[in-house]
Amino acid sequence: MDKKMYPENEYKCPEYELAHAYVPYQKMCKVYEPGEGLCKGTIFPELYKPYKVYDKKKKC
Amino acid sequence: MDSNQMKLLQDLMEVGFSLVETNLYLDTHPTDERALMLHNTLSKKYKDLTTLYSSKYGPLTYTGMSMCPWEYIQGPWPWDIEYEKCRYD
Amino acid sequence: MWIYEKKIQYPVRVDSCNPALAALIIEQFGGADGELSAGIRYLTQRWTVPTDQVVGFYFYSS
Repeated sequence: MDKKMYPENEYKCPEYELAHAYVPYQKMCKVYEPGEGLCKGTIFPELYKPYKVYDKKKKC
Repeated sequence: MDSNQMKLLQDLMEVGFSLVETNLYLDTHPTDERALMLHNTLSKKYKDLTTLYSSKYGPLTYTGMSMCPWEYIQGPWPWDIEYEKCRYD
Repeated sequence: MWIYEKKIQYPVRVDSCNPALAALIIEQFGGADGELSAGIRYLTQRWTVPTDQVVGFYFYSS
């Protein structure tokens, strides 16, 4: 097996196993100020996932 | 609605929403002391803002105090207000 | 149990008149399988939720 193509430790992360589903537990870090939070719909930056504007040229 | 009232209502909505967030977070992380501290700071701020807002522009709930005539039905209802555009678009 | 506040959570702005979009939104909100029926479903599910940690979430969802 080509060691470059298949690094050995790729699937050996002890916390995550293949074919299992996970919901990581949230841990509060930085938070937005109330004004920014209301606009973005969350005060947690790790949960802020805005939809990207569809680009017809790039098709994504 | 004048700009002073708009600003105060906006502040109230902003802090109110942050409290929703700390509330939900604390429901599942009841021992996170940093989150509790943030919640309590926001809670104090929200209380002060509510007191200020209702003393100036009338009660936000039917339980609030009012001058004569009854102020609850005065002023715009939430759906009558032209809100400002979001600043972080 | 509930108290009405003269205040909403998110500032709503209606910038343009668009009846077609309005019809779509009304259908999504109040129509079959819309937000309103989901909300009321959460509301009744809330009474029998066994875990205290998520009861508040059901309240905000409904």
